[in-house]
Amino acid sequence: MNSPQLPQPGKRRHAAKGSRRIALGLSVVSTVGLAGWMYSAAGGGSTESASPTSVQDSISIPSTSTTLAPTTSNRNNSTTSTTVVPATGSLRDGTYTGTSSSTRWGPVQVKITVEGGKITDVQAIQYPANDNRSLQISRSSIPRLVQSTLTAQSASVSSVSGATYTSASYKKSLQSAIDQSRAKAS
Amino acid sequence: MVLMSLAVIDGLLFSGRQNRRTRPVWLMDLHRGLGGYALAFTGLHLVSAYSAGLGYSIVAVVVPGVAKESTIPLAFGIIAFYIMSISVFTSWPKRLLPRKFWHFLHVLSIPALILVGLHGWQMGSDSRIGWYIAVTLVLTAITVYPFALRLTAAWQKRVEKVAVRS
Repeated sequence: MNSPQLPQPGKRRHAAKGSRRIALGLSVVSTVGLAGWMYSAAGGGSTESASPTSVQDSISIPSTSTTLAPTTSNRNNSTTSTTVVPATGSLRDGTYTGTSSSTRWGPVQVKITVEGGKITDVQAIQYPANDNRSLQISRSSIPRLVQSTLTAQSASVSSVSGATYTSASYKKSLQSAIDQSRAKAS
Repeated sequence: MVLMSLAVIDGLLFSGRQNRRTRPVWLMDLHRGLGGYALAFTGLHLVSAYSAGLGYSIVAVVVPGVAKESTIPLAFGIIAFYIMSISVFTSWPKRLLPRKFWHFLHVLSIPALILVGLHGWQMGSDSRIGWYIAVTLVLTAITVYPFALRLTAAWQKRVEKVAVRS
């Protein structure tokens, strides 16, 4: 083992002290800077930065048969069967609203339209949109989930990466709506 | 990210030339272990991302820029994985490589860590949750400190060399 080097007279005793201070300063500055950036990127702490109306206006859906409606927290979870046509498949024709499934970012609720025994339209009537990040995630994930639903004709759709909670709640609400349609058919 | 950060911190704090003779051997073992586990868990993460039904093909999770969705954040993660792999696997034949070249490859793990942070922040479903933010900030603070210490030490050394020459 090396013996510790003793400071020589006339020399600075703590040569690394300055370095430590600079390092500590950089550490604090970078951490505070990152915290600020995270804060602003997460929506600046605003819980109502995106109003439901602007959500409806700004979201575009790739499929013409799908629509995404704004979040309305006061919607009830009742089933509304508007049109009843004899179903050709296991689903009864009509419009069914799934139960509202909550996530930590807000509730997700879907409404499906069944025509000819097939799901022809899916509307997300509630989805997380309380901050910019939630809105961004909802904008990108829900159209993909809706598209997958129309292709799969069931709630067995792939979750969207980065939207795990929204995907899970979407599937839960969708399954609820499909179950209602099946119950009517049987 | 935690394992990788700890590996980087361990490496930065105890691999300096001034610490080489006094450092305990287990610290180097810890550094290697953390790096190895970080790589192994990242490999597992890639496998699960492919098999969990997130809609990514095997090509999308191994080739940066191929994925149709979340292309850039996913590319950050894939590139970081490759850099980590280079950093870990070149440590075994370290003596066969020129020292400076190996060192260059090894310190690429620092930009890789930044890419991992960006990947996690942009793609992680939990990235807005308090504990995630707290962990990220703590890791940033304790990683930047030794990194800045090494940079300032290198800078001071260079200044001293210039002073001696003049």
